[in-house]
Amino acid sequence: MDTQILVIEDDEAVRQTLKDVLELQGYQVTTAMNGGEGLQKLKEMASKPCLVLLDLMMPNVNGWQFLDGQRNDPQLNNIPVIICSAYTESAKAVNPAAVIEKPVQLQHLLWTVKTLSA
Amino acid sequence: MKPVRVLVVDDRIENITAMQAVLADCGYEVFEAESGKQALLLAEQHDFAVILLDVQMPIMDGFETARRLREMERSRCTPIVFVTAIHRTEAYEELGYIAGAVDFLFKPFNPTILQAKVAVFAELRRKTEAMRQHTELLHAAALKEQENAMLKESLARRDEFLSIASHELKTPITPLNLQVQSFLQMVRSGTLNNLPPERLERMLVTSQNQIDRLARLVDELIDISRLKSDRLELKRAPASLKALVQGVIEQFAPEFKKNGCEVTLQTDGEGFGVMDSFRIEQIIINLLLNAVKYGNGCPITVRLRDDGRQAQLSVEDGGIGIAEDDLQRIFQRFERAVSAKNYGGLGLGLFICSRIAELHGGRISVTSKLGEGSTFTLHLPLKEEALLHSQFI
Ligand SMILES: Nc1ncnc2c1ncn2[C@@H]1O[C@H](COP(=O)(O)OP(=O)(O)O)[C@@H](O)[C@H]1O
Ligand SMILES: [Mg+2]
Repeated sequence: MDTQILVIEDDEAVRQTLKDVLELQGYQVTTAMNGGEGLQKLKEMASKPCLVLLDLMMPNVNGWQFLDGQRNDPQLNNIPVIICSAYTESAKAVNPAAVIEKPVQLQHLLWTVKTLSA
Repeated sequence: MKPVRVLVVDDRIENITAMQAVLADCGYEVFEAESGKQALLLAEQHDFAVILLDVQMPIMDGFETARRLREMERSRCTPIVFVTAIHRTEAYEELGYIAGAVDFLFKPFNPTILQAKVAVFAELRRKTEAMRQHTELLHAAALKEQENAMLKESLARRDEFLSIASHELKTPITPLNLQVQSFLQMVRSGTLNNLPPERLERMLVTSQNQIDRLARLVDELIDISRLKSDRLELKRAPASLKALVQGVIEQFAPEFKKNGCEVTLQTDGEGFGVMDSFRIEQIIINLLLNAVKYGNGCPITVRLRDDGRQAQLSVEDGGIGIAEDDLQRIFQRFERAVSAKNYGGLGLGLFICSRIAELHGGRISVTSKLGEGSTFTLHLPLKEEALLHSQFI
């Protein structure tokens, strides 16, 4: 499987673990530490990822600002975004493809990722 | 509504009886005094709508009684009507007005005039009383509203705190959850053996780090309640600040590396003193982790200076910095200078640390420039002051 996922998450441990568990399932994972880095990587990637896993609360460019940038870019706005946050209400409010609530359940994560990347 | 009270003062009982007879039908509560002294006593105990005061009385005459009534708090503004048999002369009346009269009534009095005059003051009294009650009600309502607003605000604050606290707890639980569940899955499917040992170790170290993070959060919450009830006690023993800093830097080296922060230590002295090592370590950890968190991945410099009496331990970062206006505020409980859309945090760390520093007879100071970085410095007395504090606390 060469399914690419972009994980944007500021917390190093959460970011690394998401990468680990997704890689164990055979996904290719690119990571970014905040919305700014995420947007830049997304623009630069030759083949776009099939999914973005996005945290909301992040330094510099946060998740909301990332979404603004992504949704205004016709090259990027069709990539589904999963919000991964402890603030479920805020996550739902941005109208994402799916919400994964922290603390994340592995089965829920894998099921959601699989469904949206199919 | 309370009945309107009228005080009749006359040294001759038959005059009092006559007035009472005239006023009885009007629904007033009529009090009687047979001397100026008795009038003063009554005026001290009750609020009267009007005082009908005989001018010619032995010992204390009406004018003198009126003067004293005006000096007393309760009767300062009570209307006084002088009752006199002497025929009106202007000079005499003027004297009465100076003594505090508002009106005169001449004996032998006409019952209708007496009733009419008292009625005016009774009405005035009722209106003032109604007004006073109204104002009191308004005041109570305003007070109640203010209380409600304060209650609402503290409830909102509590809700906000709980929401932030649960976010703070959920973040470290996320890697823990994912790792434990992947291990379980691998064990159950018999694939754990495929996991390279380095990877297994890395995952377990991450788990351990998350447990430490959770423990620090819980400790922070416990410290807050200890500080609130003055139950945070120091356990002092001789220690070296330099050794403590070195230990912390070593312990968190992987953490610094993962966040791209290089930490260098410059020491000028050992910082030997009497201190609660665990608590001082807590301050160092807090300042360093803040420097990482708000440091934008820039290098961090830790400096220790020791002049024999006092040590200064500063943590300097090149991160987001703090606006001038926020420099004081951030040391208070729950106060934060960053948006909750960018950084998580309970806003308790600096509050707890500065209280611990104060318990040691020291303090924490800060210099910063927005966008350029911050330097937090722990000032810790090592000798006399430290000993003084350890004796008395
Ligand atoms: N090194 C730093 N650089 C910039 N801002 C800082 C730094 N340390 C603390 N602050 C500011 O002080 C506030 C209070 O800090 P603290 O009490 O440790 O709570 P928390 O980090 O949980 O918010 C922070 O929210 C941040 O605004
Ligand atoms: Mg975050």
